[in-house]
Amino acid sequence: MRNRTSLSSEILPGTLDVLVLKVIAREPAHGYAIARHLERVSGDALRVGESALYPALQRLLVNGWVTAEWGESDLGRRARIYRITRSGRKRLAQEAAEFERLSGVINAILREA
Amino acid sequence: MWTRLWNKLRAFGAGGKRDRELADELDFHRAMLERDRTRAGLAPDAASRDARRRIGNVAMAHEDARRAWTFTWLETWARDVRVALRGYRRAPGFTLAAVVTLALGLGASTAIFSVVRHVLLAPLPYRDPARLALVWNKWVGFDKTWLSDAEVIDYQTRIAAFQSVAAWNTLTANVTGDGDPVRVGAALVTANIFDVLGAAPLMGRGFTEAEAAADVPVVVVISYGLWQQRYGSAPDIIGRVIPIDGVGRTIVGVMPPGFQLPTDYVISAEEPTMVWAPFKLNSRNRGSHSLYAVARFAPSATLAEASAQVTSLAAVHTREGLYDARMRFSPFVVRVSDEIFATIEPALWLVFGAVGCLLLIACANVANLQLVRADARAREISVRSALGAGGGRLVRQLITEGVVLVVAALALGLGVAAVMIRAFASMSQAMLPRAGAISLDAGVFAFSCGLGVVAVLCFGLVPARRAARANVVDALKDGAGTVSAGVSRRRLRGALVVAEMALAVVLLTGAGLMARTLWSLYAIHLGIQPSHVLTMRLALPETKYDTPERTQVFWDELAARVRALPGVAHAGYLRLVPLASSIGDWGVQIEGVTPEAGSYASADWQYANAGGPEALGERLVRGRWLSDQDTIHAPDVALINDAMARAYWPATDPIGRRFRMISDGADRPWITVVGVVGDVRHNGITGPIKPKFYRAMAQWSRSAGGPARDAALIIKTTTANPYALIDPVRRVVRQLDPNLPIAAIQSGDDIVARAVATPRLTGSLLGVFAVLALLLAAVGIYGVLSYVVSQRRREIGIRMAIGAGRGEVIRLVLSGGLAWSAAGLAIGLAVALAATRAMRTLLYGVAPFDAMTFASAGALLLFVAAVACLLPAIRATRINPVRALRAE
Repeated sequence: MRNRTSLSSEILPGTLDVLVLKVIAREPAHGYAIARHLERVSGDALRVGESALYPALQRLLVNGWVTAEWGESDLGRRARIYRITRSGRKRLAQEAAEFERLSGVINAILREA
Repeated sequence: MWTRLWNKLRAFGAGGKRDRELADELDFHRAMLERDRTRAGLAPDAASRDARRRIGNVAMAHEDARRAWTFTWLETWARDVRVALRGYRRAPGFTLAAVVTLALGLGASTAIFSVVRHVLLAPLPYRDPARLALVWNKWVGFDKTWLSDAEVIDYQTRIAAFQSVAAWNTLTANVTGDGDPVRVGAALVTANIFDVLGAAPLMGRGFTEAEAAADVPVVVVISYGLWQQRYGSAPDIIGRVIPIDGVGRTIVGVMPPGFQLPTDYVISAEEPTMVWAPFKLNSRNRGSHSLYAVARFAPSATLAEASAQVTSLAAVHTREGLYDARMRFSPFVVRVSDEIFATIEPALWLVFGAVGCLLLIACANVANLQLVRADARAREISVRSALGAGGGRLVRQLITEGVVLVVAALALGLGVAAVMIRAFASMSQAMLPRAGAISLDAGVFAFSCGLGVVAVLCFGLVPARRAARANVVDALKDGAGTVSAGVSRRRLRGALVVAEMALAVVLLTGAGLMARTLWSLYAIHLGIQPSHVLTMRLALPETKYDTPERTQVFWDELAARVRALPGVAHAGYLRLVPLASSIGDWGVQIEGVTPEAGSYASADWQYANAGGPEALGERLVRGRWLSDQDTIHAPDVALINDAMARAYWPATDPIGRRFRMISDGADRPWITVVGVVGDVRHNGITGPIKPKFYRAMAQWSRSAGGPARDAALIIKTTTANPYALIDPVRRVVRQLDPNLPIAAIQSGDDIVARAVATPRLTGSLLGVFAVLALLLAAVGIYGVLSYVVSQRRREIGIRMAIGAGRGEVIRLVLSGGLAWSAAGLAIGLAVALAATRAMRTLLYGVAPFDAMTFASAGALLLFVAAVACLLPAIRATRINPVRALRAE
C-alpha cells in the first residue's frame, strides 16, 4: 500500500511539498508547469511523478497554503492554476529555515566523518 | 489544524465537484505531456501511449490525491479493523478461547454489577433516607423485638434527636370484588407514616389524624402494584370503595412505584404490604409490644445521639418501675439502610470482588494468549516496522486488535449477563431485597463498556508496548520459532500465570469457606422435617366468620377434606410456620409460681390442631399430640416445647401441669400441658430457641378473646413434589368459600432454602466463579507451558539426543510450571488470609482462616495445575530429536 514515488523514498518525506510550494511562490502555475519546472531546475535530477505531484498539491490545498482556480493555459485549454497564500509563504519560510538547519547538521556530520 | 479541518469539511460538502476537478486536471496534464512528446518528434499514438504511461496509474494518482482530503484516521482505523479480523479468522482456536474467556469475565462482572447497582446503590424510595432509622426493643430472651404504643409516643415526644416517629403493624387482608379474591400484605400505620418516610402519594393523599382516630378505619392507601394489577391502573381509582376483609374501604391514595415500608424489604418480604390503613396509638398500652417504628432524625442529630437518648429514657423508665430491672430493657436504633442491607451488603461486595478477580484472570489469560500470538507474529511485526511502520502505528494496530476482541467478547458477555440478570431478577425479595428491580439498563451497559476499556488496557498494552520497543534487527535475524523465548518475555508470562494462580486461590478459599458455612447451617438440627411439606396461609374474614364456632367449623371441614385428598399423609394448622415468619411472646402465669413484683413469665405463642405439628415433622418428646377431641367445650390443653419445660418446670414432669395466658383485665382459664415437643428453630436457623406453647386452636378464643382466624395449613405429602397438591387444595378451599384467597404457598424445602438465602447465594456464586477461575488458570498455565515446549523443541531435542531420558524432560518442563504455581499459591494464600477476614460476618461455624479450607483450596489448585502442566510435559517427551534438529 505504500506507493510513495521514487522521490519521496529517496529524499526526506515532506520535501516534495516544500519544493512545490517554492515553485508556486515564484509565480502561479498549473501542475504540469510545476513538474517541468522542477525537472528543469534540478537538471533532470528530480523526476516528479504525477502520482506524487497531485497528492502533494492536494495536501497544500487542504492546509490552506495554496489556492487553485481555473484559468487559461498557454495551450489554450482550461488549466488549474495554483497560487500561494499568505500562510503558505509563512510555511515556506519556516520549512526553508528548517532545511537549512538540517542540511547544515548533515554537512557537519559528513565533513567530520 | 483548524484550517485543515475546515477545508476538509468544505470539500466534503462540495461532494463530487472535487473529484471532477481532479479528473479534469489530470486530463489536462496528460494532454500537455502528449503535446510535448509530439513536439519532440514522436508519432501521435506513441506519444499518447507514452503520456498515459508517464502519468502512471491515473486511477492510483487520483486515489492518492483524494486521500489528502479524507479523514485518514478513520480509513486507517477501518483498515486496522479489517487486518485484525483477518488475523483472527486465521487463528480460530485462539480467537474462540480469548472471546469466550473474556465474555465470561465481562458477562459475570456486568451481571453482578447490575445487582450491586439496583440492590445496593439505588436510593431507597424515601426522602433523605440517611436520616431514617428503625427503633427496636431488646430485653432478656429477645434480641430484637417490637415496640408498644406508649413507647412510640415517648419517642415522638421525648427524644430530641428524633424529628418525628411513625409506627405500623403488619397483617394480611383479603381483598374481594373485582375478580378473584386476593390475600395481600397490609399494615395499620400511624397517620404520619408517609410524612416521616418522606414519600408522597402518586395520586390522592395520605391520612389525616381524624381518620386515624376513627374506630373502624374506612380509608386506605394502596400500592402502585395493586393499583396496576388489580384495578388496571384505573385513573378514577381515588374515591373508589373496595371490600377489604368484607368491609368497604375508600381508596384515598396510591403510592408511587417502588414504594415499600422499610420492613417490606426484609421482614415481611414474603408478603410485602400493598394496602395501608390508619390507626391511632393507644397511650395506655405499654406492655403489649407489636409495633414497628421508624424515626426521622432531627437535622444534624446523629445515630449515636439518638441511641444514647432512647437508652437513657429506658433507664429512667426502669428506675420508675415501668419495666422490671431483670428484663434489662433497652431499645436501640438501626439506620434503615443497615436494617435492609446489613446481611446482603457484605455478601454482594464479596461476590463483586470475586467476579473482579475472575475478570482479572480472564484478562491475564487473554494477555498471555496475545503474547504467544505476538511472538508468533514477531516476524510480521518486524517486517512491517522495517518497512517504515512507526512504533505508534504498530501499537495502534495491536490496540485495535484488542478492541475488536473486546467488542466481540462484550457482545457475547452481555448475553451471558442478560441470562444471569434474569435469574437474579426472578429471585424472591426475601432472598434478595429489591430483586425485581435488577435489570440491564444504560448504567450497567456503560459499566460493561468501561470494563471493556479496562480489559483492552490490561491485555492489549503489554504486547503493544513490547512491539513498540521491538528490536527489528534481532527479530529478523532470528528464524521464527527457533529462538527460545527471551528471559524478560518468559518472566512476564510467568508473572501472569502466578497472578492467575493467586487470584484463583483467593476465590477457591472464599468459596470453600462459604461451602463450610452452608454445611454448618444445614447441619443445624431444625426440629422439623421440611421435605415433602406444603404450607400456605389462609385468613378468615371476621364479617363472615364472626363466632369461634363458625370459624372452627370451617377449619375442621377444610382439614378433613384436605386429609381425604390422595397424596396427603398429614394435614393440620399452625399459627406460624417456623423459619418463614418470626414469632413473638405472650405473658404467661405458671400455676404454683408467684412471680416477683414487676416480672412475669412469657413464651412464644403458637396455636395448632391435631395434625399440624405432625405434618411439619415436629417431634413429640412426651405426652400426646393435640387431638380432634380438643374442642372448644373440652378441657383447655396445650403442647409446650422442651425449652418451656426446662424454663418453667425444671425439676418436674410438666405433663398435667397448668399455666395461663395473661390478658389485661380478663380472667383466662388454666391450660393443662398434655405434651412436650422438641425445640424448633423458629426465628432464623441460628436464632435462639425460646420457650413456646402450642394452644389448641379450637380453644383459642377462650384464652385470647377472639377465635383463631389466621393460620397456616401444613400438609405432609406422600408425593415427591409437594407443589403438585396446590390445585387440589385450592379446589377444596373454593368449594368451602369461593371468596377465600390462599397466600404464601411454599414448600418446606423452599422455606429452609430461603432461611439460608444469603449464604446460599454467596456460596453458589463464589463456587461458580471459583470453578471458572480454576479452569481459566489451568488453561492459562497449560497454554503457556505448551508454548514454552514448542519454543524449546530444539533445546529439548538436543538434550534428548545427548541422552536425556523422558523423566528428565518431564521434570524440566514440569518444574517451570510448578514453580509458577507454587509462587501463585503462596501469594494467593497470603492474600486470602487478608481477604477472608472481610467475610467474617458471612460465615457460620467456620473461622475465616480455617486451616482445613485453606489447605484444601491449595491442594486442589496444585493438583489442577500439575495436571495442566503434565500434558505439555508429556508432549515434550514425544519430540523426535532428529526431526526437531532438522527443522532448522
